[in-house]
Amino acid sequence: MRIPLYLTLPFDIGSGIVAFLVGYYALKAYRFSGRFSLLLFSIGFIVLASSFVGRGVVLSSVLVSRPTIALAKLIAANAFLVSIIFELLAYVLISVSYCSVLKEKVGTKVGTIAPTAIPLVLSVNIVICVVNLMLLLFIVFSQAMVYLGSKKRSSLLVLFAFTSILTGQLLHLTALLFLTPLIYVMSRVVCFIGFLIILYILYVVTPREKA
Amino acid sequence: MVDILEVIRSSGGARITELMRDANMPYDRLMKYLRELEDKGLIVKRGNVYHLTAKGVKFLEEFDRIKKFFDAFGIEI
Repeated sequence: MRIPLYLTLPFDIGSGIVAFLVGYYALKAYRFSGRFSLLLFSIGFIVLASSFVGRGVVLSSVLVSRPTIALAKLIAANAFLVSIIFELLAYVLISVSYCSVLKEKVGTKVGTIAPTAIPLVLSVNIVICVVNLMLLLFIVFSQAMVYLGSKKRSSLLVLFAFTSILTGQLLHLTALLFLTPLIYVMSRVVCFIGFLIILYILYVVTPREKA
Repeated sequence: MVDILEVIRSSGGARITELMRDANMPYDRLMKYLRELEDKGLIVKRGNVYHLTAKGVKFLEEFDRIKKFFDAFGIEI
């Protein structure tokens, strides 16, 4: 069964909008407090938003302009490569931001991400995907530490959100390794669910939570 | 500056001595911040007591919401 990749459009655009909102609020918070970790957090989420929205925009233009199949494939391949590099940069920034959060909470220096042993035969897309996965694992671990420290419902929901994004990334890697468009579409849906949880926290949970 | 606004909100209006004690701030710095907050329209002075304006109340609500959101990520503002 052929799965059109433009099915991922609404999920990519939706995820991008939520990521942009988080980045915007982080920037506002940075202006209140001057904390550098918030600036990194903000830039990370805005870069992530650009990655998702950029991918969505390119897919939309291909859909609208209907170029030849060969050209469409070339444009899509390049767009995916650029967007995944942006995702990598975003997760690096968010991970570094979590390093300073953990340093404050745990009181020790959290080391940088150890390099993984990556076989040379893997394509650039897959390599970056694996690195993104490692970074997301670190982000989920950090958020788990935050939740264990605070036991707040909102922190648990953030953990679920990042776990969902991690699962989406894992599915993305699986789709790349086995070249299955259906799994790729599923990866975007799962990732979008993660961002929906963050949106829920932003507009429903935190206004009700006691300080 | 947010500390000053929070003290005024929690006590429903505050004098300089109360602000110095509760916000834990020396006189010179406190006066500088109070002038800035008045210029921004976040507080107003009636007699000897400082009160939050509607804009100040809204500012604090927005700050609280952002603070709670980033608390969920473990980031303190």
